[in-house]
Amino acid sequence: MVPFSIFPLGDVLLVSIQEEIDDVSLASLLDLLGITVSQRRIRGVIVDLKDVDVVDSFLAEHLWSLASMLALLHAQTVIVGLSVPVVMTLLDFDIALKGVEFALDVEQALDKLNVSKKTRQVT
Amino acid sequence: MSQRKLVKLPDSQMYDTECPVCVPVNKTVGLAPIRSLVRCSLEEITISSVDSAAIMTIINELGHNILRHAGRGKICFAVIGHGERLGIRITAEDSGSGIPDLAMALKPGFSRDDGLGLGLPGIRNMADDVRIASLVSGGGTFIEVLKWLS
Amino acid sequence: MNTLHEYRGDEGFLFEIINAVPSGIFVTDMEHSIMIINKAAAEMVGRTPGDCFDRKCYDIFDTPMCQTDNCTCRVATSSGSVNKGQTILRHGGREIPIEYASRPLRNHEGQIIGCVEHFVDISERLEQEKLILSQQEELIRKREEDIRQLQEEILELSTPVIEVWDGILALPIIGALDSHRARIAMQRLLEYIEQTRSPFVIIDITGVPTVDTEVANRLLQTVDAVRLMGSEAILTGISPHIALTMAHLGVDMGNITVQSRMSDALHLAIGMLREKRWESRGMPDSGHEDLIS
Repeated sequence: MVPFSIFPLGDVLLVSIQEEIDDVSLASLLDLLGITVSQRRIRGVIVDLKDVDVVDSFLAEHLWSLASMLALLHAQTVIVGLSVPVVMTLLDFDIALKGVEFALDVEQALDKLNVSKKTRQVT
Repeated sequence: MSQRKLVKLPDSQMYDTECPVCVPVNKTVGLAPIRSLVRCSLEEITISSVDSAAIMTIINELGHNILRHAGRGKICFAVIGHGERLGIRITAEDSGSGIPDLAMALKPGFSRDDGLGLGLPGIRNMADDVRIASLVSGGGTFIEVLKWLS
Repeated sequence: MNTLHEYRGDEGFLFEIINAVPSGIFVTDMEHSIMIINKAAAEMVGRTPGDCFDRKCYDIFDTPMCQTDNCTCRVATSSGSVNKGQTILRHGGREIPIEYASRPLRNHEGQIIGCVEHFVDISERLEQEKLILSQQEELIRKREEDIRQLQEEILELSTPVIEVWDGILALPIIGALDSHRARIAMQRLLEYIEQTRSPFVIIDITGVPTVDTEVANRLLQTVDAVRLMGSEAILTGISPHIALTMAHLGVDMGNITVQSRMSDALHLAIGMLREKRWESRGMPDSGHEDLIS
């Protein structure tokens, strides 16, 4: 049972992460995403954390690494699915997630990616 | 085999402890056992979703620390009572290499910036009482976290 | 010299009087022998006055201070003044709380020749006091509960979350918020965002009188929280005074969207909403343009 799933949506990837994901699987996920993003010229990755009840500093670290890596591969990262308790805990734990975008759900995440695509085309 | 000279902090007598349950944490079983133990225990008591998230996050942080820095150890969990108040007491123990600079590890910002973070400042923010004993060169680390529930 | 024994001559009438008194009275000499005792006192320990004459008071009455230096009569006769207090009278396995007053008895020459003891069974009074106390505690508890409810209502009133547009929430903050209330208000806001799926939140601080480091940090924390939920916060209503304070505090307002008035923020947010809808559905907007000049 792999604790994550990757669903392609055109030139965007939708990644769903399961609650009990371990360090090793996370590392594999990052590797896989790196390869997929560069091979298929993916411009955006949406990470859905709605099945994750706990975001600790370790997961946050991996997410930050992911966003940094994808930025270097010219792809944007958007995180969705953070519940109110998770957000409160992230603030209380002073866990920062800088350089990452957030959206309310997958639909709005796509909006955000489309908007930035438009911005990028204009410039 | 050198004797473990782990410094154990004296038990506080200010609350009536319910039996702590200890679960091993190692690369084979990961954090799944301690997570389900805590999750099930929390279901038995009235607790807000924010408090529950905070406790699970503390467990995760402590567990990940053990896995990353010592490879194996154990985490004990107990629901405690003091009068009408309910709280939880978590202890995380390992015989790893210890925390070299306790002061640094507790400084805010340390957990975010260089990836060597132990999430300790965050845990200290969230909990009511955190006590740490750590001996370097094989002495191990013992962390006790106390949190009262609203 | 007049001794106590001679006064006993007037017994009859005197005893009628003191036997009518419902609280206990007895008189002892300097050796603790009971010279006079009324019915109430004797009956309190299940005896008649006749049983008690010439007996030692400590043989008839049993209190923790009997035969110690604290013996009330000893204190009264040695100090020469009234000694009052409360103690427990032990009798037949029961403990009766009593209030007593011992007074030294003087002869005509002013010498102390004995002790007059008066005591009252206060068990009923104590019961009543306990009842009143518990009633008071109940009242206080109810009062505190009412206060708590009012505080919650005030909190809701002072930080109402209003859906001002489809997808835009407004949070006007009125008055000063302490740490605890600010946290609750933030949690409510986040829950609202989750429920309504609103991409924009306008936080208006026109009603906030002053800002210190703590308040500024909490504001920033709220903006951060809104961002983590996936929405965007727009800060409005910052007065020149607060702007100066925040600049002096060195507050980092780097990535925060700010507008001067809520109406400006509303314009901005509506514009951004339209833009997004246009992008994702590839269809022209349904006609809101007329409403917005």
